[in-house]
Amino acid sequence: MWTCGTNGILTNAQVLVSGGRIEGVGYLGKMKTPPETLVIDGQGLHITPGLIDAHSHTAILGGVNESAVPSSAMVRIGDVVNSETDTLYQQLAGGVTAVNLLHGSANPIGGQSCFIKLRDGASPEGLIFDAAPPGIKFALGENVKQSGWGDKFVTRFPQTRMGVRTFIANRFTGAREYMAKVREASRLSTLPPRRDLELEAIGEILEGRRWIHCHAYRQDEILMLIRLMEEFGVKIGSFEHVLEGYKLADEIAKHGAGASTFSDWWAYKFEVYDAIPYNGSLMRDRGVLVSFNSDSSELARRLYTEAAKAVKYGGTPEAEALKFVTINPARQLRIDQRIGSLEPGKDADFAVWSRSPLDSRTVCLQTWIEGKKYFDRSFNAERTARLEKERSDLLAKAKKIQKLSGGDGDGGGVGGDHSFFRVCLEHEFEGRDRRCVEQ
Amino acid sequence: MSNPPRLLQQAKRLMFFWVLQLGLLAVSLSASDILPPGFRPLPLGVHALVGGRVVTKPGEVLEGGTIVIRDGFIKAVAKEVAPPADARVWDMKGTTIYAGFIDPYLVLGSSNSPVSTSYVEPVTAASLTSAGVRFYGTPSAQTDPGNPGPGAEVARIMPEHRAVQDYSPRDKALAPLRALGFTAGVIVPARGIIRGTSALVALSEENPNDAVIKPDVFQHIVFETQSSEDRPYPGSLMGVIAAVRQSFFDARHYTLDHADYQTHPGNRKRPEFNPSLEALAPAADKRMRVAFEPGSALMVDRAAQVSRELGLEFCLVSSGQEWRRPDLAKATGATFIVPLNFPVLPKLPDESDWEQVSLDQLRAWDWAPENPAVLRQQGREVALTTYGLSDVKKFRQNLRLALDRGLAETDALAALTTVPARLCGVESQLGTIEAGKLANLTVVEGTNYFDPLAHVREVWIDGTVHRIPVEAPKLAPETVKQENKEGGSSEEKPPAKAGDKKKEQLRELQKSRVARSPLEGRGPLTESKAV
Repeated sequence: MWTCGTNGILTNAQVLVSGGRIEGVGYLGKMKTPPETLVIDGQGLHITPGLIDAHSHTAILGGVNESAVPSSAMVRIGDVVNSETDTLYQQLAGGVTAVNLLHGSANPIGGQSCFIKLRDGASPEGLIFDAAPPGIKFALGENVKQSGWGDKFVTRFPQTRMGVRTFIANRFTGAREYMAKVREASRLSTLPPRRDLELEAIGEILEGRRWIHCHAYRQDEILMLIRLMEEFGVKIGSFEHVLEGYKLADEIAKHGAGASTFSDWWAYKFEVYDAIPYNGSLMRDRGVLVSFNSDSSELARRLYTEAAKAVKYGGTPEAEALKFVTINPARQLRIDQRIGSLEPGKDADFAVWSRSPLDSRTVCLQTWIEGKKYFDRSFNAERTARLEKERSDLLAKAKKIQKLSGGDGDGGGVGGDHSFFRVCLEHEFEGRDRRCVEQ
Repeated sequence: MSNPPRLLQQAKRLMFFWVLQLGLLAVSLSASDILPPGFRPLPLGVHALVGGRVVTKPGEVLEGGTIVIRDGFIKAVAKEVAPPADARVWDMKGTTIYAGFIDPYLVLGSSNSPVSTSYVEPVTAASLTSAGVRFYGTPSAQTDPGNPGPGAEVARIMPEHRAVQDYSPRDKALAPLRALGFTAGVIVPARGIIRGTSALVALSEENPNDAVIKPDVFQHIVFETQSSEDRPYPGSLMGVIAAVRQSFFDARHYTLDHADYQTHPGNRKRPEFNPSLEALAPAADKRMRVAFEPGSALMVDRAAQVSRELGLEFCLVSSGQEWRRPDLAKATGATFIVPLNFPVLPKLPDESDWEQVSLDQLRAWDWAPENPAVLRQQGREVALTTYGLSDVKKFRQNLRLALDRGLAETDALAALTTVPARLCGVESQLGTIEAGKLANLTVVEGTNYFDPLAHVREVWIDGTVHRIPVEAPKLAPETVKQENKEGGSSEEKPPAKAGDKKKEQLRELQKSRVARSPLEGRGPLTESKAV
């Protein structure tokens, strides 16, 4: 049992879940189980906390970027959560139980993020995990200065790294003035200023009620944001990707920001040429709170393998490596009092594995969220067969109808009617990878 | 992909040529048609419709009743009422008379297809050189963002637009609707996110001043992600929702700001004039209902959430896919305006192409006709519309499919009469056949409108009859002969043909659903008090 808490890794252990929370963790036979307890026999198996993906663009309806304006702090990912996509099930099959949905990285100040639990079958509102404090996406570097957007995109401010700093400083100054006006109006009971949803969100950052998760790669820009935010008295929640983080781990640790990085992505654009797979381990060695994220619905299914890479590159101890995808992202997102480890009082989010979660041959057998089972590998074959049968039944019906109506569709056979081929919004991005800035 | 647009252009050019020709023709004809000036008596507006089967409201029938119409409204409806001496008496035997149908969502003379809130490339050719929309402390380089003249800074937010202002009745658009039995319709604006207000009009070729029943019915909001070339904000679905939210906060503030200026005129800066925000006030204050077109099952839920958050009175245009999440449709608590544009089975070039059709596409096709019934099962009120049909003639055929899939006929009738009347706030004028209401009637040969073959013989609009010609070409020669003998009645079914058996089989097949709910097998697999 990989507790990812103070108990470390326990063998021959037992965890008791009741009412959706973890009641107790201990050695087998040391705890009393109440009657009518459902027992999962874990002989030879591994149990971990549910994996947490700190950076994802999965399950978002429509575009992940509101890129027409350089500050889109008014847009909310929470408005466009996709509860119907198949990727929820696929990620559950990789032991993932919670995901931080982020706005894309097209803007220096992006949209408000949304933290969900993969309670497949729930409504969009039902997926949202209320206990998570609000977050917002920021971004620096090539994406926001429109380096790779093509020749047409040369007019939006900012176009340089200098401009990015100025732009963010401007918006924060604006937000500070706006909030002062709001406070002043309420003090004098006069007409408040026009409610500005953009400045309101930035104001929440200034008040420490909304955490910045900032897409950043290079050491200079990381240092820039740390200094700028310290000027405004703001503590950054986490740097995302942070591929040059190993060059200034001390500064990041001193500021107190987390670092959510890739295990081994590099050289996919100019500003990431200095990326190394040792980044996670090196930053951890210097006291930075490190997590690995997916940034991809596909990679999200193998976050455990990502964690294993921290062992290979830099020799992070195994128990610590798994924390890169469990308690560490939970701490970065300030929800570690609820999830991220197998400790009494926490949500009963856990996954059962055939082998060590860091073993390349391991298979996730079951995934549980709040004491309810959402994935069971042994049911999967039946599920696939059921869906396949439904599809072939539907095809048979369609073909029969076509035959009866003279091979011309529903009897009407309107030429040029492509309504049949419409892909619904909810399944639009199935089988496609969506990253920070979509190519 | 370069061919279709070029073809379209050629077609347009050709059209232009024809229009020009026709125009010349019209000018030469109209000269001889001008009537001499002077007094001409108006025809008497008194009618008695006798002997028809009168469905006064859904579920209530008056066999052999008489309807007396005077000056455009219904004077009396009863079984035993003598036609007034000055009335023209119409024999309605063999017909069924309904209250005139209302289409609550008409987009006339435009090729608007229903919105699908799907993803569009977020970046367009130009970006703003300034910081953006309403950026505090960064004055825009553009002095007049948005549409020309005062108004919202986002071009696609134009609540001040009134569909009634450019409404001009055209026979070509109205005749096909009357042939389906519609007598009134809500003309809906076709562009933008916050699109402006719609107008309820009588579907007759009256002077528009006379045709308008209610000038501002709904404020229309559409989750449309298509952004124009030059001003892209908002370019994403979440941006659209943010823009809607901000607009309502702005509208409320605008009202307060002007009230504040009224009380302290010499003591503060003059407030801005903004016709967009002014026009949004009735919707913001619940004095006008907002009609949302969310475009997808989950956005139906979001539209309801946003409405509740902003305190709006609202109704929803069905996406046709509420079957995906019936629970969410139920939770909206709203009335749905339901189009009947069901996906049409394609003719695929090759048998093996079926391999590429996804389960979800097949489900969407199979579920579509059942969606109206699903909404009713969830306790939602439903109003039907022709909106979204590529060919309005398919309306009754598709309605039959929906009825075969569980939509009750009384519900369908309510969806054409009482529900839209109530939704538009004109239930005292339209929706039922009662004394004092407008003389809008739909007359069908035979006993049931919901038999797609039953001919709509005529509609009455404001006390004027509009005869609907019988569509001849589709009938076999012997049927036409038979009909001529009977004087134009198509009450009897055409003689049985070999094709009828096939049609019967087809209908049986379409009656049953094969697709399952996408919710099946999802949600917790196991629940236990303790694990």
